[in-house]
Amino acid sequence: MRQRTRIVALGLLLAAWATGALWAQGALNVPESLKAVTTEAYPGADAVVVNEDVHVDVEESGLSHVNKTQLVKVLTETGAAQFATMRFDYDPASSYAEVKGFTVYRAGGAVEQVPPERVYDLPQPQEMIYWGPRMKVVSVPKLQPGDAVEIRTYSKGFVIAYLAGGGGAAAAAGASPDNEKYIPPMRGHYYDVVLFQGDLPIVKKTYTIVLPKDKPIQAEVFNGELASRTAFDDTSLTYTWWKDNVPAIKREPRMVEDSDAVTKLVLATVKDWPEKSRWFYHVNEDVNTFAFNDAIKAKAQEITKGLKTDDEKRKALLAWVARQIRYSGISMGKGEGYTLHPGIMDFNDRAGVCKDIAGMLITMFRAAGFTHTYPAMTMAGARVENLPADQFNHCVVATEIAPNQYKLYDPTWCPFSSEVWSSAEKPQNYVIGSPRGEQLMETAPVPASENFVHLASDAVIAENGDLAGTMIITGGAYSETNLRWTVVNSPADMVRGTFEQWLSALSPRAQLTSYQTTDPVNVNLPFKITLAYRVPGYAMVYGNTMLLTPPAARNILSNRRLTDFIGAVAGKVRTYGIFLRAPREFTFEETTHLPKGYRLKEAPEAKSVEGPAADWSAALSAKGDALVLKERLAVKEKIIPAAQYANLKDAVDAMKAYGDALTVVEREAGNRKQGAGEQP
Amino acid sequence: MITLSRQGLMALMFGTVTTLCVAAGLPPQYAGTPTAKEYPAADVLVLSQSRAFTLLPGGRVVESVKRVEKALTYQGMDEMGDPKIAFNKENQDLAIARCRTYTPDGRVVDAKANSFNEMTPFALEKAPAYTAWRQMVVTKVGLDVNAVVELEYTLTDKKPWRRFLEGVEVLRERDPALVQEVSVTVPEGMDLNWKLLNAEAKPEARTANGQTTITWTLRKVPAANFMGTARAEWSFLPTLMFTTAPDWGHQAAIVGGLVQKAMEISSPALDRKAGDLLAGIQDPFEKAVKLQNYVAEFINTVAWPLADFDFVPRSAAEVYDSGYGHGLDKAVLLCALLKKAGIDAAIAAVRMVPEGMEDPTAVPCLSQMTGTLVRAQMGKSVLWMDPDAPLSERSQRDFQGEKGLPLVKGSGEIHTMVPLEAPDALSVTLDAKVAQDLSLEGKGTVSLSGAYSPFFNLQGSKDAQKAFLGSMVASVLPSAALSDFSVVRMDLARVVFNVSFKAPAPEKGTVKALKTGLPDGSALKGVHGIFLDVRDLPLVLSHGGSEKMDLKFILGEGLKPAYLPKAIAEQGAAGSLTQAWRAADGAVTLSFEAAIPKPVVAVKDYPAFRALQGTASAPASRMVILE
Repeated sequence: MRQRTRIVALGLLLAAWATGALWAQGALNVPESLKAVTTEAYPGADAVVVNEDVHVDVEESGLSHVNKTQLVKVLTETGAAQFATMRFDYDPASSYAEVKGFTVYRAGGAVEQVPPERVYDLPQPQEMIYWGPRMKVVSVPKLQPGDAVEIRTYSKGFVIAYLAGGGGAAAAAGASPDNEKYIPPMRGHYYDVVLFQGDLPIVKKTYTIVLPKDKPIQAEVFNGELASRTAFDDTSLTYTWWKDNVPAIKREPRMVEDSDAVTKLVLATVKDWPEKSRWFYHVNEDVNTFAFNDAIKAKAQEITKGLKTDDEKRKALLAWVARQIRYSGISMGKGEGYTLHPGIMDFNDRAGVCKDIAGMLITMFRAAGFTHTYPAMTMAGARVENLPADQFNHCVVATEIAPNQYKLYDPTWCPFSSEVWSSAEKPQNYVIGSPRGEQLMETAPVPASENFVHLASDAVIAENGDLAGTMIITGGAYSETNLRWTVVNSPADMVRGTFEQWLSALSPRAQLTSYQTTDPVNVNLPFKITLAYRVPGYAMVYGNTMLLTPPAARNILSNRRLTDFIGAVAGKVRTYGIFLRAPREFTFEETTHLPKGYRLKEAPEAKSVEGPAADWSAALSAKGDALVLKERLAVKEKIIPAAQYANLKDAVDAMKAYGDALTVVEREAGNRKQGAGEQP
Repeated sequence: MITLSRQGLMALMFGTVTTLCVAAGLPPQYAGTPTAKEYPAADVLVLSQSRAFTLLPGGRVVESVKRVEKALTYQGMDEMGDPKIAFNKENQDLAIARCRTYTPDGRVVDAKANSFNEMTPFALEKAPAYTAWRQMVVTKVGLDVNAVVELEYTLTDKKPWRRFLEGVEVLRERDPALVQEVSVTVPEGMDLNWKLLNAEAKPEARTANGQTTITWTLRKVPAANFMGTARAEWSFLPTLMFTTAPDWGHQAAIVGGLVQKAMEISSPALDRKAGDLLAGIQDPFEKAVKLQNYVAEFINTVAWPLADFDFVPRSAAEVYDSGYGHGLDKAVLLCALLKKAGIDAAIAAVRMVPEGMEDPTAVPCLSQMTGTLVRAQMGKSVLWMDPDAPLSERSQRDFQGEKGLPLVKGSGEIHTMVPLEAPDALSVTLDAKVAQDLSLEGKGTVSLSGAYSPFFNLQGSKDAQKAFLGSMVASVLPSAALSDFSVVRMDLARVVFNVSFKAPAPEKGTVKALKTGLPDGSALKGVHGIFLDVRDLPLVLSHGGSEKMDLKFILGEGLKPAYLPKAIAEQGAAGSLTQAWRAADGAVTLSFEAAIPKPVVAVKDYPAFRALQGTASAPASRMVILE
C-alpha cells in the first residue's frame, strides 16, 4: 500500500506496555474491591478495570524494570468474550517480558491460578513493518459475568513505538537476559507517556516511578488532573500519580488521538529538546548512516541533471525517493527502530519505513551537495507536549537552506505529490536532529484555499430531461495529491470503477462515457481528471417546466479521501475535537445549458454559513439559456475544537441539503408548447 | 534456501546480498515481456505460475510453488511486494529456494535474511490453540517498475497429517497471467478425483517412477476484477478441485467420527453453563435460539479456512473453556449444548453453489466446504443455524444455495438446503392523506415472506419490530415515522404487520415534492457494486423474488399533481419492472411490481439489470410534484 497516510515507525524509546508496578501482596483486598463493581454501578460497561498499578524502577543506566498489575471485572457476556484471551506485546530485541501471575476470581468466591501452559509466546501479526515483534497471549479460562481476572507482568527494557527486530530468544523461558540490550539507546535516560483513561471504566489507576536520587525527572499532567505524591530516601526518589473513578472514553467519529483527549502524564529525565536533538543527530551520524557510494551519487546526478535551482533539484530527488522506495519495513537488527537504515542499504532494498525512506532522501541530498541535511522526528496525528519525552511516530528530512533556516521534506507522505511537505502535516510538531541541538518546533497551519478542490462542470440538459456533461477536477497541495492517488495509488483495474462510483452520486442511472487524466507521476505538472458522462431522464419534465438539481451540487467528490469531515458529522454535540487529514476548500463552478427557450424560474434557497471552522455558500443564476452554479465549501482547520462542531455541521448539512434541492426552470412564454402542462 | 522447522529458522539464504550490475535490461528470458502498454488495466503481470502437489508414498505431501511476476506499475510494486505464505509450523517445513529481483536497469537483487519474517496470522492472534499456523512474509527487495521477480518455495510435510491430498486452486486472480499451471502427483495406481470448473484445459497425464502426474495449464488468463464483487461470486472463477478421497462417504465417516467424539466431551463448567442458559425455558425453540445466540455471539470466531485444520474439531469442553473456535468447533459446541437441552442436532459442512455454477460437489473434496451449519430437529420441523452468526443475522433464508455434507457416520451424500416454504415476496401497501402543508398521515400493511421474511430478527422483540417497521416506512416515505403497528402474522414463512405513520410538513420550499423510495429489503436496493457499468463475474444477489408496492396519497384541498413519473414496463432476462403512477379523484396512486426471478445475474444480463435497478431507483421515478 503506497498511500502513506498511515502513521509510521520511529517512536523513539516509547515504552508501550513496558510500564508496570511492583505487585504489592496484600495491599489490595481483591474480593472486597470487586464487590462494588456491578452492572448497576457501571451501566453499559462490559468490563471495568478495578485496579491498574504500574511500578517502574529505573537504574542509573536508564534500564527500567516494570511491574504491572491489572485487575479487570467482566460484567457481561460480551465482556467475558472480550477477555477470552489477553495479549501483551514486547520487542525481544530490546525488552524482556514475563507473565508473573494470572488469577481468576470467580463470582462465587473461588480463586483459580492460571497455569503457565496457558501463556503462549508468539510472533505478532505484522503489516507493512516486519521487525519480528512478539507477544504473550494468555488463554483465559472461560469467564462468566461477575468473574474477574488479575494479571501480573514484569518487563524490562524498552519498546520502540512500532517495535524492533530480533529473534525472540531473550523472551523464551529460562533464557539469560543480556541487560545491555535492554538499556535505552539514550543511555541513562527514561521517559514515558501514560494515559489515564481508556475504553473501559477505571476504578483506580496508579503510576509509580522510582529513580536514583541524582536523576531528577520532569513531569507534567495534560488534559485533566491527577493526584500525586513525591517521596525520597537515601538512594532514590519516588513519584506517584493516580486517578480514581475514570469513565470509559465515549468515542466519536474522527476524534483527536487519545493522547490529545484524555488525561495523560508525560515525564522525561532528558534536560531539554536540544539534548534530544543532538542525541538523534549522533546516533545516526556516528554509524555513518548517510554515507553514499558511486551508484547513489550517479543516480543523484542523473535525477538533478539540467535542473537549475536547489529547490528544483531537491524536489526531483524527493519525487524519486518517494516513488521508488516503497513502504515496507524489514529489520536491520541492532539499532532498528531508533536509527535510520543506511542510505546504501535503502538504495539496494528499495524498501523501508518512514525513517528509512527519510534516510534515503538525506543520503541523496548529501550526494547532491546538500550536506546540511538532517533527520527530524515528528508526531503525525497528535500534539507533542513541550517535555523532551519520546512523543514521536514519524521521521522526516530537514535541510538547512540558510543559517538557522530549515526546509522540511517528507518522502513518506509525498509520493506522487507536488508538495515536498504534506499539507496534511500542517500544523505538526517536530525536532530536528542537528549537531548544535534544536528546540521543539511546529509547522505553520495551511489555509484551506491551498488545499483546494475545483470542479468545473459543463452540462447539457435535453428537452426530454436527459443530461450529458463533462466535469474537470483539479486540486491544490494535499487535495491534488489525493486526486493523483486515486489513479496512481489504486489498482489499475479499479480506476474506471472509482469514477463510476463517483458519478453514481448524480443518479443510479449515471453512465461514465469516457475519462482522462494527466500523468499522475509527473509532479511538476498540474493534475487533472476529466469525466464525461450521461444520465438518461435526469430532470423531471412536465409541461413547460423542468426540475433538476445542478449536477455539481450533488458533490460527486464525497469520498473517504477528500471529504473525511463528512464522516465527523454525526450527532448534535461533541465532547472531543475533530481530527481531519487537512483543511479543504471545494469550489464548484458549473454551466448547465438548458434546452432552447428555457429559463431559470426558481432557485433553491441557499443560506450561507460562516464560522471559524467552516463556510458554505452557493449561488445559482441564469446566464442566457444556461444555469450558472457557484458553490463553495471551506473546512478551515485541520483540528476542529468540539466547540466549533456546530459550525461544521451547519456547513455540511447545508451542502447536503442543497445537493438534494430542486431547481425549477421553465420554458419562456414565447416558446411554450401548445397544450403542454397536462402531463398527469 | 531457508528452512523452517520446529526449531525455527535453521539455515538460510542465498548467501549475502547480491546486487550485480550487469548489462542494462532484463535477462534474455524476460526481455521483451509485456508491459503496462499491453496490459493497461493491470498492475502486475504473472509471467508464469506453477503449483505442484505431490503425495509421497508414506502419506506426506510436498507442495512446490514457482511464481514469476512483473511489476507493471508503482501500485504493482506494493501489491506484489510482501506476499504472505501460510504454513503449519508443527507439520510442515517451508523452504524458500529463491526470491530474486531482476530490474530493468540490469540489477539482480536477491532477498536477504531479513526479508523473511514469520508472523502469527491476524485471524489467529486471539486463538493460540491454532497458532501452529503461521505466515511467512517475504519482502521483495530491489523492486522497480518493469522489474521481474522469481519466487520459489516448497512446503514439505514433516509427517503424514492430513487424511487425503486435496486442493481447491483458483486459476484466475486479480493479476493477469500468461501461464497458470497446476500439477498433482500421486502414487501410480491411486485414483485422483478432480474437476476443472469454469474453464477448459486438457490435462496431461504422465506416469514414471511409480508416480502419476496430471498437469493442467491455462494460458493468457485474464485478470479478474474484484471491485464491487461479493465472495459468492468468486465461485465463478476458474478453479481446479482435486482429492484422493474416493467418495463423500469416506469423508463423512472420518470427520463424522471426530465430530461425534468432540461433542461428547463435556466438562462441569460447560454443564453448568448449559444449565444457566436453559434455566426457566421450557419451549424447545426458545432453548435452541438461546443456545445458538450464546455460541454465535459470545464464543469468538476464528476466521481461518476449515480445510487447513483438516476438519478436525476440538472438544466441546475445550471450545467452551477457551472461548473461541473455528466454524466446526462452534458447531460442535452448539450441538453439544443442544443435546443437553434434549434437542437432536447434527452438523453439515457447507459451501455456496450459486445458481448457474457447475456443481463442484461432484468431486468429494471436503476442502471446498467453507463453513458449517447445524440442523436441529424441533419436533416435526427443522431449524437451521449458523454457529458463527445469530439467527437474527443469518437463518435459513440466507442459506439458500448452500450445499453440504452431513458430518455423520453413514452419511455419504451431498444435500441441498431445503427451500423455504413460502414464496419469496415483499408487499407494501400504504394509504396516506396529504395535508396542504404536505404533512402525511396514514396506515397500511407490510408483508414479507420467504427470503424477504425477517422472522428471526423480529420474533419475540417488540423493540426489534418497531425499529424494523420504522425503517421500512421511512424507506418508502422518507421523513415518515412509525406511529403504531400490530402483528397480523408472525411465523417462519411469513410476517405481516399493520402500520400507521405520520410525516411532518417539509421545510417550506418552492417545490412541493412527494418523495418515495424502494422498500427496505428490496432486491433492487443496496446492490453491491451496482455503480459499475460492466462486470467480470455474475452478480449474486442476496435473493430474488417478487415485489409489490401500492401507495395511495389522498391529496388535501387545493393540491393537485403537476408531475407524475412516466410509466415503466421493462422486461428482461434478469427481471421485470412495471410501475404506474396515476392521478384520479383527488388522489395519486402508485402501482409498482418487480420480479427478480433468480438471485444470480449473468454477466451478459447485468447491463439490463443495472438499467432496471437504475430506473426503479432514480429520483425522477420516485417523486411526485404537486402544485
